[in-house]
Amino acid sequence: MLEFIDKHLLTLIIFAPLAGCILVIILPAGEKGIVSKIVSLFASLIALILSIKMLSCFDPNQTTMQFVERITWIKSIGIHYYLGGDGLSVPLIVLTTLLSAVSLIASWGITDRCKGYFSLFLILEMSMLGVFCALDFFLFYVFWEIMLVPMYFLIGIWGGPRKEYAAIKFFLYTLIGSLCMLLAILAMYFTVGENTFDMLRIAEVLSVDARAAGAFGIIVFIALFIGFAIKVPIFPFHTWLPDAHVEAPTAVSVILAGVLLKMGTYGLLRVNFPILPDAAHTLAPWIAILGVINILYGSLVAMAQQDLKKLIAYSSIGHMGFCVLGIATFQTQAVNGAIMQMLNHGMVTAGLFLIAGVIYDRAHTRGVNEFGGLATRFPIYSGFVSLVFFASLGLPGLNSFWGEFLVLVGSFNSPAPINWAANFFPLMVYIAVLGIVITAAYHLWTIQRMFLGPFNEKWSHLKDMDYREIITLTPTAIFAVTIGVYPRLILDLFTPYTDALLKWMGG
Amino acid sequence: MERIFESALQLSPLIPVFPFLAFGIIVLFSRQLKNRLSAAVSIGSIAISAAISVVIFIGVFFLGYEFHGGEAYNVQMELMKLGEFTIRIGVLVDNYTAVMLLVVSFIGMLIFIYSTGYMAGDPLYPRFFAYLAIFAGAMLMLVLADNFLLIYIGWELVGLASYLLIGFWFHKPSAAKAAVKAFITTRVGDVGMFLGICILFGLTIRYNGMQGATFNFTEIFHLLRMHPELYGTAIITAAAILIFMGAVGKSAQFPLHIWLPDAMEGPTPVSALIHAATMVAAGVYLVGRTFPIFDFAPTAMMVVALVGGFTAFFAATMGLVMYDIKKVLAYSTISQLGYMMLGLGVGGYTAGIFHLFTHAFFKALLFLCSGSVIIGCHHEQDMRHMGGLYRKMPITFLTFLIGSLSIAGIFPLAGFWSKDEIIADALKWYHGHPDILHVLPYVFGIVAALMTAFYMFRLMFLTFGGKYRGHGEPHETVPAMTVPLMILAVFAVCCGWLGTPWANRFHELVNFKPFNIGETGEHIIETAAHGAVHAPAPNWSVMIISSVIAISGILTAALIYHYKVIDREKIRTRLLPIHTLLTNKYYMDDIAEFIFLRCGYVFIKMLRWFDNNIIDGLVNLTGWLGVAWSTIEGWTDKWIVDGLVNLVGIIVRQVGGIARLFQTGYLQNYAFVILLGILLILLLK
Repeated sequence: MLEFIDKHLLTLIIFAPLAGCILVIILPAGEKGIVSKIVSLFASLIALILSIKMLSCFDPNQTTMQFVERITWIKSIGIHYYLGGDGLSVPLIVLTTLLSAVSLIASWGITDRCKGYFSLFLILEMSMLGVFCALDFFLFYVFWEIMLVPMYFLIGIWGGPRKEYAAIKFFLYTLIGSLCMLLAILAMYFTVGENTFDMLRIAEVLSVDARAAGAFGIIVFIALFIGFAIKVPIFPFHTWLPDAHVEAPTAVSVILAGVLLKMGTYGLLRVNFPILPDAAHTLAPWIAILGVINILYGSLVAMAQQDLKKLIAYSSIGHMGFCVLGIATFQTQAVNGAIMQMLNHGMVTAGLFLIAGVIYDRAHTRGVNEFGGLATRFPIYSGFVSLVFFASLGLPGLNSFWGEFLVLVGSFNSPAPINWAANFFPLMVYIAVLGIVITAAYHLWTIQRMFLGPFNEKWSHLKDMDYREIITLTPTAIFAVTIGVYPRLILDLFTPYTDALLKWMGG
Repeated sequence: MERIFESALQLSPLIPVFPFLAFGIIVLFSRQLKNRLSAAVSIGSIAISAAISVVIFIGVFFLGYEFHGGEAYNVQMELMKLGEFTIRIGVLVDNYTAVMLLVVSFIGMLIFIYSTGYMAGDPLYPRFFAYLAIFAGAMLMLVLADNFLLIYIGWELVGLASYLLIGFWFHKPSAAKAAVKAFITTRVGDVGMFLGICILFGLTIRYNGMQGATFNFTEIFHLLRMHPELYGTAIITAAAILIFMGAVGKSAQFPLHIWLPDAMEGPTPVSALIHAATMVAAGVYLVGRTFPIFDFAPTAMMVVALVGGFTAFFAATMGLVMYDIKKVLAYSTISQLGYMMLGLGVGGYTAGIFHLFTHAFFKALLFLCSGSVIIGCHHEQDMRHMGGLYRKMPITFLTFLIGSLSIAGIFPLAGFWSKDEIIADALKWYHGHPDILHVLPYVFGIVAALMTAFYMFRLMFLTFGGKYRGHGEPHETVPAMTVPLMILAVFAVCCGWLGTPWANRFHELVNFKPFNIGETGEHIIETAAHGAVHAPAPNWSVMIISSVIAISGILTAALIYHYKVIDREKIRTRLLPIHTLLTNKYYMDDIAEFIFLRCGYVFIKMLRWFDNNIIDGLVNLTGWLGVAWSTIEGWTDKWIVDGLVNLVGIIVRQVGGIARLFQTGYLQNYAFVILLGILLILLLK
């Protein structure tokens, strides 16, 4: 039994939620869906425990794929059920299982059509885990597409007033992205011509192939990039995000911001860069520029928002800009910082959306200006808000600082791209640091408007956070402080991976 | 005894840890701890830190112990490892650190104790002590850091503590606004500092490779020493000026000083600890700590001297007209910080730091006295509603007087020695380069000294002289407040004696030794900080001039505010435009508010509109076009494509209808047609 678990760890992690989903469908929902809730929470906890076991078995210094499972699926066109984890995907898998469990606890308040909600949620979790584990392009694409379906229904059925608009916008946007991606995958498949969808094999062949160095490589790179950029989201493909977030229920926002956005940067690191290093080097400066635009634009627009959820959504755009800038530099510190920023942002933004959910559940409004002085009556809530907000604005001593710090220091000192001005990257950093000030400004301004000043008596009937909400926010709080004090705890997981990637890209 | 010193050094990395722990304990258990116990935890933690710091200070300054293996005690740990690049952080204790440790933890402890009296009865009492503790921890970490990364972390964390404490009475919108303003304004400076760090870090990569990349002060200074060709280059100048930008924000130098007067919204112990004695001195500390970099960039030194000198003068002018007792002290703080910068900028390394040291004591004293006055007058801060307090509050009066004499620079109080040394250094700098730019710091220093003496005694006469003009009955405050005042008063008198020109212990221990570059770099030694090892000779003329100036400032204040020989209304009407300009703080707050809040707000609104209407508009347009296209296609499909199909159908049906006529089913008809066909074939053949 144990041996079986060890051998098929990734499969079990991926399909534990699916098993839960089937149970949810078979069993009666129970009063207020209690059976569905317990079953789905249980399934996600199993996935979480398994993923922690995986983390404990994971050897970061071994840069080849670990926990590999490979079974032929469709032999005639070379499709395999091929899974594996390395320093990039393992932390993201744990992030996914953790945030899924947190979101399911945060969904306890759902009473409408519980069976549907919780089964869809578990399918969503399965598909996200599948994307991070898959090493076969076909499998990757299948999981990628499955993901859209539960997301579409979760927003479209359990969402806010404009849910249909948001759901369709999300769906079409991502569908267009994945269409580009599909074309690129097929192009690569036929160019390699080895009848294989194996990502690692394709990378081995194409990264040194002369055909991939020219215009063909650039076109394929851009097609893949659009697919991933929409997910990140990179300016100007970002407008689905605020709408989706505003309309989605809290738990879905948590998953959307915490995990889904990471798939964009994950894809760039897993697919674009190792397979098409030449195109990557050519286009890197443009990607860096887009990253800087994200940082500034996202935080400036965030400042103008009145709706707390929309504000957080735009802040995500800004924060993901740091990831994009970091990975475009091919510099040790910056790339490590970018990966760290992915994890940090996942945890912190999840916390931010949970915070927004807490106040929305009580007041049924998210208008920042409608509150005031909440700190006087809600000590626990304002304590969590302060912690998470300060983590989000990159205060040293809390987690997000390290990611942004490494990205900026690394970018500042990364060598100039070929045919670009010598101080291209320093210039990018000079602009990007303005984002730090703006980020601080809108976070503090939000706290000021919602929590400081005289108490708005309109809300005197509201109660402080209950135990369930405290539990959902605790992982973020612990993570923020622990990683803030001792960043090595997660950095060491992926530094060898980053080294290997950069060596691959450089050679 | 030496063994105690050694073990204190070994414990030094823990100095910031105790207050941090206290913060954690109070925040997590504030409900269980109640008021008394939280204060005890907080005070206990800082007391431990203070004990270690005092041992180190006494060991260094009075017993003459040396650090093992050279000039400093340094321990490091590996923070992270990225490929071949490692970040190491550590703790550095040298003479300079010993001074700062004493200032922060000892004054901090007194202010913690004072707060038990000042904050008594506040509903958020435990939280106040938690915030004080996190401030102390961050500040101690900042002064102990041996590298730019750790100093930056401490730097930002003191900013956080400052934010929390300024906004402590957050139900007041003005306090909330001041807190945000302080954090954002200093962060503007921090961004500069961050970029400066990036540049220096880049230099270490360039010269040492990725393995040798470092944030460590000593290693960066060593790099400069190895590369004298960097002297005066644009890159070092840029790095120095950017780092100075951080100091400008934190130490409230022109033009980022605007946050400090507003920060007086915080409780008075906070103003004393953070916005007078310690945190605002962090900028000065930073420039002192990274002085070798400034020494390599003469232009940057010039900037430091001019910004500092101008700030000293500029802030003093506003101090002349304020009526809020804390605002006067706030402008005085800005002005004195300007003095310190001026001192550093003209190469008077020791003078600047010495003034930081003495100022911390007398300014903390002055603020705590003002707090005592405020409590004594039932939370009144306007000096027009005070007066005659010297009888009602004798201890506060005496200690306040000592503080004012000290800051005014009266012999032999602490402020006299340090201010004189700065002015003497400024004069020496001018003698080195006699031109208009180099004389400015000296002139600013002298004029500001006159104004300092004047506004301090204006404050004294308005507060303590004459008759009581306020409400209620003023009273002396509790011993928890007055005892710290008395202790600080002793220091405000004596701490300057460490650095008299005759026995300059301070100068012997805290001085700057320019790099010994050898023949090629002789010029560096020449322009660098002067009088490095030898204490300056007593400069009698400066001493006499500054004493005369201080006394004339006090006398003028006495003539106007006490003896009323000169009518102050007359002066005011005569100088109305200037007076208006000064009371409105040169309109700098209004200008900043207009640019950053009003225009910024319009700008972000425009961006939001752009996002909603242009970018998203394009998306929606694409969507709409898609829908329109499919509608057209649907119509085409229905009427044209389907129409054609139907047309075909119709034709087929018509044709079929005609063909049907032939389909009679009678065998003889078919036989007839077959016959016709055969005949036709035969004919055609």
